[in-house]
Parts: sequence; C-alpha cells; structure tokens
Amino acid sequence: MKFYDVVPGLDFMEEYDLEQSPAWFLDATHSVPPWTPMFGWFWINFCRHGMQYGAETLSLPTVKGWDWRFKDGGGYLTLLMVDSDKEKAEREKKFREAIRPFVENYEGLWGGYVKEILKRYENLKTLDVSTASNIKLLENFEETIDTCRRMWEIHMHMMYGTYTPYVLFEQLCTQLLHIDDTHPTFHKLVAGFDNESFRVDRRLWEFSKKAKEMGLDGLFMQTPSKQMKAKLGESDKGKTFLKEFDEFLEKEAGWRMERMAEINVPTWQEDPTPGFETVKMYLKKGGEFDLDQDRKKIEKERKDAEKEVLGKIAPEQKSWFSMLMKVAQNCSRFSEEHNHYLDLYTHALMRRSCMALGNRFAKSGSINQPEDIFFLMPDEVRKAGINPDKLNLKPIVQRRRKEWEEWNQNGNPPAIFKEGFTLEQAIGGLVQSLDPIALKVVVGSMPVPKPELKADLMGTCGSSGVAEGIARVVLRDEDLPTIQKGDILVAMSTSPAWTPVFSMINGVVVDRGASLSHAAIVGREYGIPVVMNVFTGTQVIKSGQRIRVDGNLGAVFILDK
Amino acid sequence: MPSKKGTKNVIWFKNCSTKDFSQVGGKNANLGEMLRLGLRVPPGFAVTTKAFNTFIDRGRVRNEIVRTLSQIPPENIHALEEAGRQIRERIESTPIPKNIVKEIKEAYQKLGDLCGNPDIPVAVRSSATSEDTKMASFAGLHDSYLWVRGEGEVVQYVLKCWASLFTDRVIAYRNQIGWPHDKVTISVGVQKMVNAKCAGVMFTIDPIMGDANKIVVEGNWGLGESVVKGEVSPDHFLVDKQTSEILEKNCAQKLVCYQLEGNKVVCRPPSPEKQNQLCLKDEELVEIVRLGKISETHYQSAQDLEWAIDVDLPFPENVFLVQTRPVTSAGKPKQSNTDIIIDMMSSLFRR
Repeated sequence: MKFYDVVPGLDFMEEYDLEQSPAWFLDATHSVPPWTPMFGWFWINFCRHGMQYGAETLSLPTVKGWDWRFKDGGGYLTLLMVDSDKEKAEREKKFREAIRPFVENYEGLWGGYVKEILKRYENLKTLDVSTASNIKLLENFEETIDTCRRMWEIHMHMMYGTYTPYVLFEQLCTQLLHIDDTHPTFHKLVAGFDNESFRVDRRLWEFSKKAKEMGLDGLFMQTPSKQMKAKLGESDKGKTFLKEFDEFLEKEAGWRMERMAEINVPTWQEDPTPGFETVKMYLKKGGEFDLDQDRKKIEKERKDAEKEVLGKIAPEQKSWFSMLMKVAQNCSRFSEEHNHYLDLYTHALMRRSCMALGNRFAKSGSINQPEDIFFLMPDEVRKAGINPDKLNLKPIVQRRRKEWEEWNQNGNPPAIFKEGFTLEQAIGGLVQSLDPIALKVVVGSMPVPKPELKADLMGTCGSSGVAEGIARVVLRDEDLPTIQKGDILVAMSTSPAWTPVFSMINGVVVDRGASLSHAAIVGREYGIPVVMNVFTGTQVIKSGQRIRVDGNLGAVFILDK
Repeated sequence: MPSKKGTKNVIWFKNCSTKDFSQVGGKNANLGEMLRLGLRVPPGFAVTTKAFNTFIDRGRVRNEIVRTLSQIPPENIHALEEAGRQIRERIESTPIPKNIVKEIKEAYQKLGDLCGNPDIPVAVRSSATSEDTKMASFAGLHDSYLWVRGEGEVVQYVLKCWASLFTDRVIAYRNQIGWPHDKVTISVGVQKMVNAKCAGVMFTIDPIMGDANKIVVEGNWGLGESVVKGEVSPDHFLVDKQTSEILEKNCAQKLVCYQLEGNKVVCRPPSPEKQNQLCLKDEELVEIVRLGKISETHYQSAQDLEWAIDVDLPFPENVFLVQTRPVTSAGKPKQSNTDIIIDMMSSLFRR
C-alpha cells in the first residue's frame, strides 16, 4: 500500500517553502501539542482558506492573509504580503467600502453570520448517526467539511474586520490620551461586556447554586467528577439535576471540547466531566460568591473609564471618537463569542461526524478503534466510506499513529527560517505587514527591560492589577484540574476551554500574548492581573513557588527561590 | 477665439486675475489670484491665447486643421489618430511669428535676471480656457514639461503645449460634445521651477486629531517628492493657528532626499550633519504658516498645501506655496462619523 503525505500537498517542504517565504512560525496557541493528521488536514486547508478569503474580501491593503503548512503535527504559517505600492493603493480603494459594514452595522453582520452557521449546524445534527446508513454518514461528512470551510470564511472575515478598528482605536488612544493597549485605563475601556462564554459560565455557577439547594453539594465534593454522572443517576434528586444538566449541554454548552483546536478529545456532550468540574469549583468557592456582582463592577469601571476618556477628547472629535470606541469594543465580545459559535461548535461537529464513521469502520474491522479515524485523510475515509469491510486501513493508522506519538515526544521548533534569516527580521516582517491579527493576537508588544525593578521576568501588561499566589504551571489542558483557588496560572497561552478557571485564580503569566489574545481579554473580564510575552515563564517558574504578578509594571517576581 | 485689440502676447502672473480668464486660462489666472492674495507662488508668465490665435491664423494653419478633420468620419479612430499626428507635426514645424518669439524670450530673460540665473529652469504647462476646462480634465490635457532651460527650449515647449490641443483623445472628445475645432484656443504658463533647499506639506488642521486650532508642517531637505510620497519620516512641526506659536519641533533622521543634479532629479542621502538637523528655521516655518492661514481664510476650508524654500531668492521671497487644495480626510464638516473612521482606518495601512 502507498502512503500519502499527512496533509497531501500541504506538508512543509523545506526546499520549496523556504524559497516562497524565508520565515515560517509555529502556531503554538493551536498546534501544541501536535495535531492528529485528520484535524491538521481540516485546519491547514480551511484556516488558510479563511484567512485569504477574509483578507481578500476586505481587500486589506498590505496583506493577503496567511499561508499554512503542516509539519509533524505543527501548523506553520507565513504572511502573504502585498508588495507593490500600486497594488496597495488599489486594494485600499476597495477596503474602504468593504470595511464599512463593520462600522455601520456590526450587529447585523455578526448576527447574520451566527444565524447562517447555526442553521448549518442544525442541519448536520438532524442526522441520527447511530442508525444512519453509511451513505448518509458519508454525506454528513462531506457537509461537515463544507461547513468547516464556510466557518473559516466567516471567522476570518469577521476577525480581520473586527480587529482593524481596534488597532486604530488603540493608536488614537496612544496619540490623543497617551494610553496604549497595555495601560490600565485602556483595559477598562475594552472590558465588562457580556458574551456567550460568560453566559455558559454563569449557567454553571447557577447549577452550583442549584446543587447546593438540592442538597447535592456533599455528593459533588466527595465524588470525582469522572464518576459524577453515574452517581447522580442513582438518586431521584440526582436524576432531576442530571436531566436539566443534559438539556443545558444539548442546547447551550455541549458542543465544545477541552482543547479547542483538536477533535480527538470528547465533547462535553459525550463526557460532561469538565462541566461537573466547574460546578464543583464554584461549590468549593462557597455560595456567597456572586459572579454577576463581579461582572457589574467591571462594567461600571468601564463606563467610568469611558466618561473619563471622553472628557479629555476635544469637543469636535467626541462624536466620531465615541463611535469608534464602540466599534473597537466589539473585540472583547467577538473574541469569546466567535470561539463559542465558530471553532468550538464546528470542531465538535467534525468530531461527531468522524466518530460516527470511526465507529462503523471499527465495527467492520477496517480500523481497530473508532479514534483511529483521526489518523486517516478524508480521501481515505471516502475510499472506505460505503464499504469499510472491504478495506484494511490499519497499516496506515499504525504508521501514522506511531509518527504522531513521536511528534508528541519531540515537539516542534517555534519557527523555521531560511539560512541567514534572523528572528528580528521575521518579527519586522510581521510588523510591516500591518496584519491586525498578527499584531494584536500573535506578536504583541515587546517587554521593556527595567533592571531597577529586579524582577525575575519582564513582560507586557495584558490586564492590570497586582496579585500574589502559588504558581501553577499548566502545559496541557489535562492539567487544568490541578489549579487551586487563589493560584497564579502560568502557561504558554490560554484558550476558551480555560475560561472558567479564571474565576478562581488570582493572576496569569503567559509566555506569549498580545492585547487581544485569550488570556488578556478574559483576565480583564475577570479583573485579574495578566502579564504576557515573558517568553520563558513556563521554564523559569516552578509549580508550587510563591510568585507576585504585577500587571501594572508588566513584571513577575518569584518570592521563594 | 478672436483676440481683442490691446491684449498682449505675454502677461506676468502677478498681473493676471480671473478677469483675464479668456486670455490666460484657468491655471494661470489662479496663480495670479494667489499672488494678489499674498500667497507666494514661484514667479512666471502666461503666453496668452492671443499669441496662440495669431500663430494659428497665420499661414492658414487653422483652415488646414479644420479641413483635415472635416474629411475624416469621427468614428474612424485610426484615421483620427493619423490626422491628429499630422496636425501636431504641422503645428510643431510651423515657425512662431517673430514678435511673439521675441516677447517670450524677453520674458524668460527677465525671469532669469530676477532669479540671478540666465538659464533658469522652468515648468511649461497648458492652461485651458473656459469651454475647454472640462475637456482639459477629461482628456488629460495636463502636459507639464518640467526643468526646461534656455529660451530656445522654452519656445519649443510652448509649441508642444499648443500642439497638445490636437491629441486624438482631445479631438475625439470635441467631436463628441460638438465643439468646433476652429474655435479652440489655449494659453501656456511658464513658471520658475522651485530650486528647493527644503520642501514639504502643511495642513491647516491637525489631520489625525482633526484639531482645527493647530497647523501641522512636515518637511525634508530637497524637493517635496520625498514627503508627499511618504518616503521619509519628515521633520514634524506643530504650530498654534491663532498665535503662530511653535508648539512642537521634532527632528527626524532624514535618510533620503530628492535633489536636482544637472537636468536630472536624483534621490540621495543628505549629508551626515543634515540628516539630524531640522530642515526649517523658525522664521521660515512662521512664514509658511502665515501663507497657510491666508489660504485657509480665502478658500474658507482647511487646506492641504505643498510648500518649498527656494535657494535662488532671498528670504522671505523664497518661501513658496506650490499647491493648495481642501483637506479631504479631516475637518470636512459634512463628513459622516463612519467616513471619518474609514479614512483613518485606511490610512493605518499607509505607514
């Protein structure tokens, strides 16, 4: 049997790809630990398509989106720059029209997209995968692929269009008010908005209240979350609770996984352990904790900051400035909501479709276990889709699984450069592209050295405030439950599945981040200090050490060395 | 257009006004108006429509043109192109009446005396009259011949401007709107090229903040191209509009500038000591700002201007405005908030 490349046509090939671009960056936020081949295929194909679709639809004057390659489970990206001034000028003309809806009709635009994609999800879900024919399952798989393609188009059109006004707003705040996006007042301006992620969070907190009211709190505290479902099923009270919880999962929160950018871990629907874990966490914190009150405080701080800032703006500029501020503020909400409606939901449905086929394949003997499907390519799934019993896919799975395990052990380099090309040049290129996503999510500001502070790590401020606590270094999603109340989370970066722990920790230190990355946005929404771009936090800080995070200074101090 | 008795073949800009529109065309009349207002522009003169009319009527050139054009069907583009080429050749090979040549040469010599350079480089450009104004913008009748030196050359380029009335696009346009070919006329402007020590732009409103109480001036050594095209980070000056107090002077490291070498404009790094030296003295800055304020008051809207400081003339006669137009991005009172935001977002990508 001849084996395909893992992502045919999109595997990284040094001799050609370094000719195309001298610098390729590892997407450490999404592709560490390494992706399974199936997920990699989806991401490399459609995230790339979406970014180029988004940049082209908006006609961004300086950048045509990103190109992506797959290397040993890592997603590597490079920017597609617009080279000639003539082309830039032409693109700028179109850009002015294309960006207009983001200023004039943001709600309509985003609301329309959400409606469109939810309709696709509903269509996919109508199929009962346990009883459907192989033909129907394959059809569902094809529709899922197309849904993923469309999801990325929406994702990147929205993301580029949402972050561009944010970049302008930040620049004007720096020029007019001398506050940049690492300044506490700026953070207050862009926090305190409700979004879908918080609604899920609040619902989980309500479930913790309910558990207490029903006298189930003792059971929750004693039972490991993994066995919670079975335990609840043993009593009538438990059954009532479970019924409501299942409904909540089906309608609101079940279509997500602990790792956002993978499909090889169960959804909350399949395994509600993470949900129970969060309920338990809220119980531990005690009943007097009121999430809504915290949120209200942050909302009020925002409104005060808005007033303060507008007071400093010249009268003739107020009108457009406050309009721009509203447009820029969409970022916070969009950042969390798009994960909920787009990535997480689509990935959960990709998993649903793949697992359904995996079950059939495993039953027919073409693979050993349903999860082996994640080591196949769509073309191989198509090949075996209708008559899986006629095909032996085990050798492919076996080989690729072995490779994947090696990838996991070895890890991927953070960047691949052509010989003689330096990190400084590469970062310079990213900055030059003026790509809003590269600037505000990936690269961020560089820390300013302040030797007089004698800090152990210097970074930039993602969210202001000062906190002390026990450091908890979390490298993998599975380690999230080790976090205790009052800890300081130390990570490479964070993702939406981590949002609930923000309500129990006192501060965050991340190796990489910018003012629109997840840790910064959520840190601001929960009012805890976040220091980003310390680069070596996960290596320098050890779990259990007492540390102080000073968001205002962008500094981290290790208190017991 | 028949010429009036008593009109001249050459009129200095400083004697031009809107009343002379039919003789000197829009562009030259406007330069005259600017000088009257005290908006200093580089000196020069207009070769009037009378000169053109005298030239074209003598030796039956006009009759010949009309005959040639009436013989070709207007839709025959190829024939039209060929006819245009013939007419232009005919014009450029016809000698200009001696008295007109003499007047042009004398005016050029006088300009040279004024600037202390007998070979003074000038710009020679067409200046269209009333009925042709629309056509001028439509058909791209904007030929400018820059860095023209010497009286013989000047006369030759005046002739080229005259011939440009008969490019195929212009002929086709005239056919289209039914404007008779025998009535066309044109004036030509001859203006000193600025021999810029330094040059740049000025906004009579802070274009980024939209602050109408501030004037922003940006400049670099040499000609204005480097600043206009955004090829250098220029020196940046902020001046209070009411009091003319200089609020900010930021010196940038200026790594390139455009300079004239012989007949060519070249892009060079300024000398090492100039790279980190402000390109404007305070008195020059204040003079530029004064001109900017006059311009804004006259045109009743915030202006986006280009200025230059000439090395051939003494201060303050060497402080010139080269261009003035309303500011488009900021300060336009009727612009919607959305448009303001879009303007600014689109400028984000231009740095």
